[in-house]
Amino acid sequence: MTQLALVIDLNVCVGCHACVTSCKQWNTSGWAGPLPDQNPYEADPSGTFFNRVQTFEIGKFPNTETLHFPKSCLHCEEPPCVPVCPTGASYKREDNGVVLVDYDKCIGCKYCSWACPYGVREFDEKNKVMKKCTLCIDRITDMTLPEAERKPACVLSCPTNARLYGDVHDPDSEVSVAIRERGGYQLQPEWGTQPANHYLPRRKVRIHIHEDELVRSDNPLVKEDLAALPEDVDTLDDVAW
Amino acid sequence: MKEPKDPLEFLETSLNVNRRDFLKGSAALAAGSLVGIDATREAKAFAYEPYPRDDELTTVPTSCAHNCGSRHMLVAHKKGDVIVRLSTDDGRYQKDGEFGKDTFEEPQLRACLRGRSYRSRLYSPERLLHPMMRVGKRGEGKFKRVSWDEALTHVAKEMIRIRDTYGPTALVDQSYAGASYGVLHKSDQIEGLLGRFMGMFGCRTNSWSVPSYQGTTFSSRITFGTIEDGNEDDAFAFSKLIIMWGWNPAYTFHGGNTFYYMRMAKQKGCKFVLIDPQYTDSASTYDAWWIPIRPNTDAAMMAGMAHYIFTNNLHDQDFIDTFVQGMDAGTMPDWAQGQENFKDYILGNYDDQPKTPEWAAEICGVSADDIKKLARMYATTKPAALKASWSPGRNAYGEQYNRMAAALQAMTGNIGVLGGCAEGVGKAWHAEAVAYPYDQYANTWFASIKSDRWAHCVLNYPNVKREEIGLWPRTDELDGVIPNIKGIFWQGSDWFNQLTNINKEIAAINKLELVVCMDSTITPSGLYADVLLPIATHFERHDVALPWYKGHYYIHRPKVIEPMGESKTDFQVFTELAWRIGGEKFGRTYNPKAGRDYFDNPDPVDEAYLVDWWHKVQSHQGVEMSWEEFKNTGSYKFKLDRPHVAFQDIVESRMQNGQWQTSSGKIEIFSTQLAQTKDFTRTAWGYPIPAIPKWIEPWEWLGEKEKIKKHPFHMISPHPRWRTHSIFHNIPWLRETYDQELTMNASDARKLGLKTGDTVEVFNDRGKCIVPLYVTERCMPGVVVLHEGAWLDLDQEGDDLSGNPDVLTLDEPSPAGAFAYNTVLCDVRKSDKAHRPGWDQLATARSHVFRRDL
Ligand code: SF4
Ligand code: SF4
Ligand code: SF4
Repeated sequence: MTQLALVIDLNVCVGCHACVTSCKQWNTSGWAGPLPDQNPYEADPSGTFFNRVQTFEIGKFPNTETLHFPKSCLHCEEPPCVPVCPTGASYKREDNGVVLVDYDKCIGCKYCSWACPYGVREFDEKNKVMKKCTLCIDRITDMTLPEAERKPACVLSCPTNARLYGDVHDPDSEVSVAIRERGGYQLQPEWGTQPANHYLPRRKVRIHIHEDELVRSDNPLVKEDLAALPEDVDTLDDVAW
Repeated sequence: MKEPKDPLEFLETSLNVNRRDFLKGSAALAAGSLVGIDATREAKAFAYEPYPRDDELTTVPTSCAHNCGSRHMLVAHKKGDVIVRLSTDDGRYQKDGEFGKDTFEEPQLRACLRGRSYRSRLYSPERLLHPMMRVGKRGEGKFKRVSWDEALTHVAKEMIRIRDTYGPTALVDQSYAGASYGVLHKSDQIEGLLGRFMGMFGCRTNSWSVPSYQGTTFSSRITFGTIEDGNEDDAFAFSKLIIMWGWNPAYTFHGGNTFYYMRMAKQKGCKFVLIDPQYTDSASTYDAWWIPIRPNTDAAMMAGMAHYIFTNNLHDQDFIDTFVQGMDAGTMPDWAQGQENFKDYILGNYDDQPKTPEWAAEICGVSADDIKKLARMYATTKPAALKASWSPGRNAYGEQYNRMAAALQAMTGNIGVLGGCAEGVGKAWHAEAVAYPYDQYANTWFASIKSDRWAHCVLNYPNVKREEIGLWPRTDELDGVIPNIKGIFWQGSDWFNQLTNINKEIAAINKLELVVCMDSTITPSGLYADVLLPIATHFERHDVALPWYKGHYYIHRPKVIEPMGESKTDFQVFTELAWRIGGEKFGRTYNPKAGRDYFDNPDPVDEAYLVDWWHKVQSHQGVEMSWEEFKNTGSYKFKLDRPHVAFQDIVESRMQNGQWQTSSGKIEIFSTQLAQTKDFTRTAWGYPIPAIPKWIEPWEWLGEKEKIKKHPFHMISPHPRWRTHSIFHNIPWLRETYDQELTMNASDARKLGLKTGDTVEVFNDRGKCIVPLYVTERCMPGVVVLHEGAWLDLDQEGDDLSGNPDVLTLDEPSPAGAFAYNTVLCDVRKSDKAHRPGWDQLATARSHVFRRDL
């Protein structure tokens, strides 16, 4: 069975939010729209977004780190948001594993958003229906588009190419390979929801500057050996990153 | 499908057909039977149901605009005359393009979060759609709608009256690259359309200092003789060490796809270091070693590094001897023997104060060990890029920081080397930039002042000394004549909101007799104008986009939609004004290809200018693609033989193939021009500048024991991610994503009993603003960060409720002209006032009625 999903590479994501606004761009003008805005000019502007970037701070000054965490519906293989829905509006598509909401059936009771452990369901306050990431279902299943273009809007917009898309059940797909080879992980697997989306972890920069690279070969100092590192001084490898 | 009679019923059915299709599965779609959109119905910019699919829309590649540092592709999908959605570069709209193409030579030019929100700016309630004239007081925001004829008659009459009464310097040109930067329609201090118009008209005071990077410009010109000291971004991929000195490419990328190459550098094991008072997103992505530094002390830290490098013999003496003037006694020119050279200054041979890492540590708050460690890394890792960005130069004596950086770059031999860096301003590949007539009238001026001194000049006239306003010298009788400023033109600029010390500007503007604002939206500046002229955005006129200062490509900008409301282009307005003021002679000199009817139909004339320009591109830059093909393709991306590295030819040939454009032909760490200047009051700088880079104490900083008793925090105001300066401040999506807030270190907040979300007032003797607080570990203690560009929103007491840092900044530029945006001491306390993240609600309501889709 096919299970379409996103794999997001946290190692290259710069937290720029281009995926956030391009998601909103596509979806507010598309099948799953609108994505309304509330009080855009007031003190607490809020609005419906299918994709958000959460930012976490780690550590104490000056040893700080920031983790940007783009998050949208993870299209769980065992989605708890589906069985709780009293009307059947919340469901998982059989053919490709995408979890969707039928707005026409949704009564806005919000049970599903209570059930989702990831907080990704977005209630449209204006139209009083539950919405959420559709994996751009109206792009990825649009057979009038050439196959290469059947990708979610956020994937096509990410300036760093941090977002991969494909079938996580196909062991040879780009996403499966990335998960396997680069330590892809699921968000909170202990919930048993089996999220289809995966994240590739942050990695420390590997050190591969070699001694001979340290000094430009045409640097006259090499001859005089003035640039050699004294024993007691930290080398690059000792610098605390 | 037969069209039902009732359109509503039809929409319903068609909608359900679509929705059900996606709900069930792909069967219906696979059969290609996605049907049911009424092609005849009118498209709306914010119409949601039923939604138009891409294949029912016309696809038009164009670009984003604005002075963000980059220039990305936007692809408009439109129906009729309405843009329904925007997408970005996907590899198709270029020569041999195909979907998904994204290569080292021709990376995709993918738009940022702001560009992707552009439709909301285009159709925003703040659009200016009709000419308007002020009926209330300045700043009150009361205007009446008038005809173009009435508005232009008023402007023309007043221009003539003011010129004839107060002389040729009475009108200040405050055009800036904010709203339009294309080859034809250009707002700019130097190459702009306004400058040529006012120069020809015979009344213009120019504003010469660039808010973003004047200190840096000075340094690049003095040191290298050019601001084209930059590499293209692909060169970063070859660095082994990248020192991001005040540089945050995650917010302000410079070039079409900086991330592509930064990511590559990271993958190849490049080390990253960030020197910045705050920990940035770039630091986290590139796993950088963060060295927090007290604002404005960068030159001291660099001096400490230089000391370590010199005393440990880690410098590249051969490079210095071959290419540099004045690095040490041996490289001083003969005529300057006995004057101060850089090395002896660093070693303390003039003032008995060696600029040791320990000395620097006291000043900049970075430990001496870290300074040494970084100095060693930089001197021994080859090639290493010290990217000395602009913001640490937006300080009192900011030029010293950039010149000091150049000294480090030169002493380590990292100039002209792939993977090294000589930036600086960092302009790289040279674009063919101008399509409008550019002749002896371009940038004609009768006075030229430091840009943020206009208010000082107005308030103190005639008791102003030339050095106070940085009056540029002239060779005629106007030399030294203080302009009696009576009017301002804003073209593509929101300078009233963006220059320093807004409260002083408010005092000054009431003395003016003509204030004209030309923009596509109402801006905070616009509220102070007498006349508001609605200017078509770049979606509504024909042009070609240039990369902003890096990148090597052109993007065609067709007229995607008709100008909204009664909007006209800047070029149309100036041409019409020229005809009105000086008849056919002025009209045709200003716009030689146009007749009077240009005001009504600019298209053939604009096309003719662009065709001429394209011929220049073809002959100067070896482009074979025809103009028609370019228009059909959407963009032209140049493929360079090798990554563009500034000065590589000079260095590789050891000056056989050219030399630097300085008077000595060398990299001037000891500046000939500065050393030979006798009277600095006769220069545009006004005040003395040392011939070698030095650490000079700024007038407000954390080392000022007395001043910090009253104002214990140092405020910096970097670029925000969710705005380009003040542009995009009014975009709902971006407002929902980010808040304007004051960033403060957790230990400081604890001391003050403040927490995230508290509303605080940030204040000093110049002004006060009200803003929510964000408490973090990512900002160094003693420093607060407030992003520039919030839309000024004053309450009854004159406090700014929007959180605009420029009510606190000082309009005292550095001698070389650098705006001292980041030289601000202030205090913070809890406020009982409410922050107002929007702006004058009256103003919003006023323009709202003109919105097209309501
Ligand atoms: S992430 Fe939440 S909304 Fe999405 S499928 Fe899982 S439980 Fe449902
Ligand atoms: S667009 Fe890419 S880099 Fe930017 S926040 Fe989204 S995933 Fe991260
Ligand atoms: S605002 Fe600048 S960075 Fe963002 S899309 Fe436009 S050109 Fe690119």
